[in-house]
Amino acid sequence: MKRDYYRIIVLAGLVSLACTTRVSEWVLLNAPANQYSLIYFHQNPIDETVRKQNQKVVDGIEMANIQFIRVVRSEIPEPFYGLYYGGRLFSKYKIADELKGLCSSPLREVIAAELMAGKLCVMLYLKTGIKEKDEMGLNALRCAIESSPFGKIITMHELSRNSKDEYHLASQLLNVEDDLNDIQEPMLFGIFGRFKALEPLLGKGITEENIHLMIDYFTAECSCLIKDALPGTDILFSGKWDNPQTALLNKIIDDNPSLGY
Amino acid sequence: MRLSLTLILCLFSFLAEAQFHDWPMWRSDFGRSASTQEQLADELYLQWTVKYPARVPVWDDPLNQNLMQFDRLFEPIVSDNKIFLGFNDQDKVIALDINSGRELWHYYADGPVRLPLAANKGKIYFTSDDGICYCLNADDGSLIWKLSLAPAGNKLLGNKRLISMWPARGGIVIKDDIIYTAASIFPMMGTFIYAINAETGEIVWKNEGTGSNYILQPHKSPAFADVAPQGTFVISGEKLLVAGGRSVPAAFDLKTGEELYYRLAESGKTGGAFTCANEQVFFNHHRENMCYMYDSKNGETLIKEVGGYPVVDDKHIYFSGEKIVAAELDDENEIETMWESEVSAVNDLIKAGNCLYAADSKGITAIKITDNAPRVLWTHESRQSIERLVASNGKLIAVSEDGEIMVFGDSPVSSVSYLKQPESNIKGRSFSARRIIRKTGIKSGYAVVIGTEDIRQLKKLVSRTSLSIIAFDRDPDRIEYLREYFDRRGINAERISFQDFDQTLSSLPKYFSSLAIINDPSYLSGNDVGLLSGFYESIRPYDGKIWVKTRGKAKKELRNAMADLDLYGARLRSGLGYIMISRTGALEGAADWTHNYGDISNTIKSDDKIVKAPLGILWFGGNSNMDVLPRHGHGPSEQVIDGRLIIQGVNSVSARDVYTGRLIWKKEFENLDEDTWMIYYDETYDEENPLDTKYNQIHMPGANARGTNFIATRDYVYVIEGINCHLLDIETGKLHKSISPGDKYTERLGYIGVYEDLLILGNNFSDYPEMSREGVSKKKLKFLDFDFTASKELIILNRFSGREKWRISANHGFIHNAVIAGDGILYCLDKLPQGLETKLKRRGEEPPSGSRMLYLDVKSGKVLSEDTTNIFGSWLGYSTEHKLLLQANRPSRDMLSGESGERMIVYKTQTQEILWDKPVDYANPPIISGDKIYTNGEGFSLLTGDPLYEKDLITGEEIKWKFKREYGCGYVVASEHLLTFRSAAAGFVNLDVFEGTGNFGGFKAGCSANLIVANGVLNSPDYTRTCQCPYQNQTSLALVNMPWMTYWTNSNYRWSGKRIQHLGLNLNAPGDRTSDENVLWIEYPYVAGAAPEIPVWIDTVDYSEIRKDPISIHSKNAPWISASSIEGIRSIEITLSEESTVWESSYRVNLYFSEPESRRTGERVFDVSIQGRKILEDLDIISETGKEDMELVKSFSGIMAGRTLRIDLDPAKGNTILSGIELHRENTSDVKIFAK
Repeated sequence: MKRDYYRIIVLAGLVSLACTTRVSEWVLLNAPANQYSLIYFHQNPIDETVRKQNQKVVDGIEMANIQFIRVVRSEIPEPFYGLYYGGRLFSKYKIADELKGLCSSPLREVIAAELMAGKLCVMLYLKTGIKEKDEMGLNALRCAIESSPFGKIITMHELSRNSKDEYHLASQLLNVEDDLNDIQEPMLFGIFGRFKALEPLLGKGITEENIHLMIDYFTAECSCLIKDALPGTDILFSGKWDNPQTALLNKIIDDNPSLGY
Repeated sequence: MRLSLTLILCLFSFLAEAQFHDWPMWRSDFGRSASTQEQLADELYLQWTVKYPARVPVWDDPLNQNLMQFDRLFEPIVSDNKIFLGFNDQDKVIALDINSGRELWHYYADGPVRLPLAANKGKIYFTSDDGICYCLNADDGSLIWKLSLAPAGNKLLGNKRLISMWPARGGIVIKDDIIYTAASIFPMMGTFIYAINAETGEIVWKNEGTGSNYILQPHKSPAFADVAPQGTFVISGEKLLVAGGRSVPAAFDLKTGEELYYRLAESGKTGGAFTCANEQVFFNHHRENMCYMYDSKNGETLIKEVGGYPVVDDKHIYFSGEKIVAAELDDENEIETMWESEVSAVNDLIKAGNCLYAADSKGITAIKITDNAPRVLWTHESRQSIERLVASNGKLIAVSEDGEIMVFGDSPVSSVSYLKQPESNIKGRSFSARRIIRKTGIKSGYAVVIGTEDIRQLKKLVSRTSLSIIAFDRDPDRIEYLREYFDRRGINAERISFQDFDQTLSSLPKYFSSLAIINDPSYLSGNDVGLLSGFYESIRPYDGKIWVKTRGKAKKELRNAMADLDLYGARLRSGLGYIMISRTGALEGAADWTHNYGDISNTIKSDDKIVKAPLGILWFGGNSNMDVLPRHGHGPSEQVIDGRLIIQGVNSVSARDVYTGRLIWKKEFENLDEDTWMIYYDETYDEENPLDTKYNQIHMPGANARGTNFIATRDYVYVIEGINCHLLDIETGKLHKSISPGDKYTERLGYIGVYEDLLILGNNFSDYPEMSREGVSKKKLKFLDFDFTASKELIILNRFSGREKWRISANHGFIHNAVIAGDGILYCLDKLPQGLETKLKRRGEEPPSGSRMLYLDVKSGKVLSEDTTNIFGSWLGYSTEHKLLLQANRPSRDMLSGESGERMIVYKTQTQEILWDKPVDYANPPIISGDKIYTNGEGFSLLTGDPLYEKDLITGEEIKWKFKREYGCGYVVASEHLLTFRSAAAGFVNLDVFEGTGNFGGFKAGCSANLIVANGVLNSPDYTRTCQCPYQNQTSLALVNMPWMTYWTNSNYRWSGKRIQHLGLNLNAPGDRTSDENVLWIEYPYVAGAAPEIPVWIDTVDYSEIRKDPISIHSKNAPWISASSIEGIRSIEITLSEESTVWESSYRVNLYFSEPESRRTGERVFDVSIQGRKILEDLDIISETGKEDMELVKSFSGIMAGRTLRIDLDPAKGNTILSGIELHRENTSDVKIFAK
């Protein structure tokens, strides 16, 4: 006699996983970075040199959240590269050399490794170079991290907005909002998921209270609305996001359930 | 010698005959190969043509017309020297002599014939929107048999015609004398797929259990909606490929009817009604005439955009298109190109013998294939675009786009005969019709005429009105005569059709008829109460009329009968020889929906009490989404008032009939498109390429942020265009007047609202200069652009005269989503949008002063209260019932950045005090419904802010009220009985019971909120324009309460482990549902939604699952329980409690059975035991019910059970079967039996 066995199985946990997962972990696991477009605008047919140069560019951005497109435009005097995100022009580049390091840089490697290691988020502090201004925000950041129950799983990095090594990273951060380039104030970006940068706290807005609110967002349960309309801007990065380590946040919440609500 | 010559002649004749082949199905055969062995002559001559009117395809918009092309042309089939054609406008099938074009016979169906016909062994088969499969004698057109594929006779308006609720659009395919077809194009109504013996009409198998399968829809999100059969069916090997209308086909086992696969979600943005196949692969429509190639074995995509509609000559594939590509398919499903020809086959390509025939807009080209290479034989130029070719019986038949059939043969004729059908032209003089038109004033809409003796009346009604008339008579000969009479005069059935009184009248749809004329009162069966009230129910509210020709005693009796009936809204008027009954006003319990959120109080809730589950379709189709804004721009929702649905297009506003979908009027504007540019649509909207699968119209906040720009009222539709507010006559759409209330600084009008006799307009949008940085001009991102969300000034005018009453300026901006009115007070928030306030906070800047909430006397503008504290929101809602004002935010998908739902405040408006102020997480503009607030998935008390709780129907515990919603943009809206929203398909929550989220499966709900209950129906105008997803249907429709209709829910129930008080286990059901007795029935095995975690153990032998559509089941209350069952159960054990201490309790156990198969007494006999005690011995269902599909319920009380309850079924003969188990804990004292 063939005996079948059925039991209403516990799939509910799987089904509802996304709703009890915290924002930081859910975004890392489930939200691929939005694509940038790097568009080469030109008027005349491209020659072999340009073809090779573009191929080099394409090779350089492989694995990153970006696509390369060629567009013929009759009205442009000189060819150029345009970097677009969400339909908005972020930067223009006259020559291919300017694209070096567009999708990777030392600091980005470090940040990505930290996110993959299960950190809650990375606080990236973009400095003006004006010491008094920069120090005030840094102090607030240190205090906030120190006082947060999640401080141990948050890392912080400083970056000069004039950094040559991290020119592209700084440039992309300054495009997270449309007027940041014109504001000479320190900025604090919360980086999470697969290199997504939240709109920054800025100048006097870099307060312990605001930083805690930002941390609250990362530790919140990931609602459907958050999933549908994730805030923040994706930063260009060449790397794989497969198999990240278990979120360190979960252990903290498991040990202190009251922090979970 | 003579004998030899005779033999030779006979042999020659035989050989000559043998070269002729029929073309008995669409594209020649069951694989739709478009290939025949017929070898036509090398030279062909045009011999005759016949011209019919061009076909009008069933669907209304460009994408649907491309995806479903089955009735855009005549699709001839050929058998035994006859050409057979189906007509979608004259509801008929005709046979033409292939040699002369002479019509041999015709046969009228009861609905449009939209799908290609099929022939087999001297018989012709076809289906119609009347839900019937017909079999005719091919020689004379006489009916041999007909079979209703629809489960019942109910009618609805579908694509502007009165048709079956289950139209038969399964294009017949035949193999081995079995025909395969189907009825119903909406899974929510049930789908019925058949294999039928072609000779006898007997059903071989019928699959009616898949329509409600809970499967992934496009966007990979689940809903109760499987394949919707629409299009020509195909056979590939042992699989029946059921055309899925707009989607890829589903595969069913040819022998058993079991569904094998339906890759709706995986297929992506492709699919369509066209499929052709060989035994190995099938080709399915993509866009234009392009195909994807799929593996027949499993339905997986093999090659995308493989080529144009192909000829499939076994493994030789010839792709049509701008050039012909010949290819060979190998056993690994790889395709290798053999040759290409520059001959254009853009419109059609067939293969006959060793020739290909290609058609395009210039004519026909014949190509001979020799040595596997093409050679052009001849070209025939045509002034028409040739769209279809058929090669059969020595002829090449060409069909043009404009309805011409051209037949070519192997010999020239002295003169080509041109046959032409009559032009539509009819005149009539009829006093009675003239009087009816004059007295009723009704000249458009749908009309019913009962009794057809007065043909002049019918002619006059046709010629002097635009009514679509359905005329009824008892006499079948009269019906036939009239069909023929009007057909011969070129009047198509959309204008006037004729139906059998007895078979159809009782099943008319509700509300659809603007005018009913009863010429013969005897049809009212002596004023039969049921007939009268049923007939009245079919009349359109808001002044639909019944005209009864009557006099004398009969007139008096009718008057008395109507008085006795006292029908709601009925008003009688009589004159010489007639009684006129008007159905005045709204339906009892119906309500309107105006403004963007239902009313000017922003409740987002309809007060309509009529619409409740279950719902079925009242009408579908008949209007185009080309008159609606593109979906992701999130234009304003429709507004519904007095039987009219008002909806905005890119540069138009139109009114549609709520009860039929008919376009009442459409008003084009000069610059509305400019005014809504970058607000309701932007540069990504590509009007020119409606078939483009690329992203078309990106997501924008649209009316979510800006609010509506029009308001529908009883008298006028108010529309903002630039600095003007236009008043359009609600009845005609004509411009009554324009108001320009601004001043020289006015650039645009912003807010619009109507409160009683006042029109409230926003003067200029606020542009938030405090947030702009001097010298910095940046392109704003869609979700960060706050410049169209508030108005600088509010102007209040008399809405009829346009005279200004008062105005008030904002400190920052009156946020459109927070300008509301109720009980004589105008409430508004004057502040920055939340996103801007958040931005300031992030930047360490204080929000500018001046934020306030105002209470203004709406008539005078007097400030009653100005509150400057706790001003955080961007949304106000008002409860007239409770005099409470809600301040909140408006979080939802596709809303401006920063709109997070974290706090609500409710104020007592009479004292302006805060009633409660709580942190609340929510994700929907908050709906105010009575004393409750509903959001996306949750609910709160309006009076306290506490979460809503409800009773767990299974354990009796109090649990938090919630519901689960699957994928979909748009927000949740409410009515008295329902929450409606998109949830993969259209979704709903029944507020009357605890049962979770259900679907109206089989069409895509709008991306903008469009499922709006008002005027007694659930309105669903097609707000999906630019959507390319292969949902089963993309159409406007309306739903009404149908108590007998089936629906399923995903209760998302999670058992706590507490003792079960009441439970239903619905075996093999597609989903959950709560019964009228308030028992939650959960499907088992689990297939839909989250598992409830109630442990159930089952032992089976010869396990099998059977499911029918509940409409097939005879049951007093809940046919949806006995419609499905499991065979082979030996025992089933249900855990009743997981508590540490368990008590033995007494239960009443109801067991549900039905016999789903054709069995005789004694063929299925089994014993049933509960808790080891035999309670049924030798149960023989058929013996007790007397027929199959009849519910049998056995009830047993006093069953004592502790931790588990066990039922054993022991077969004596045949297999066991069980449909459902219902448990009720009884009110007796429990016995403690176990403690952990």
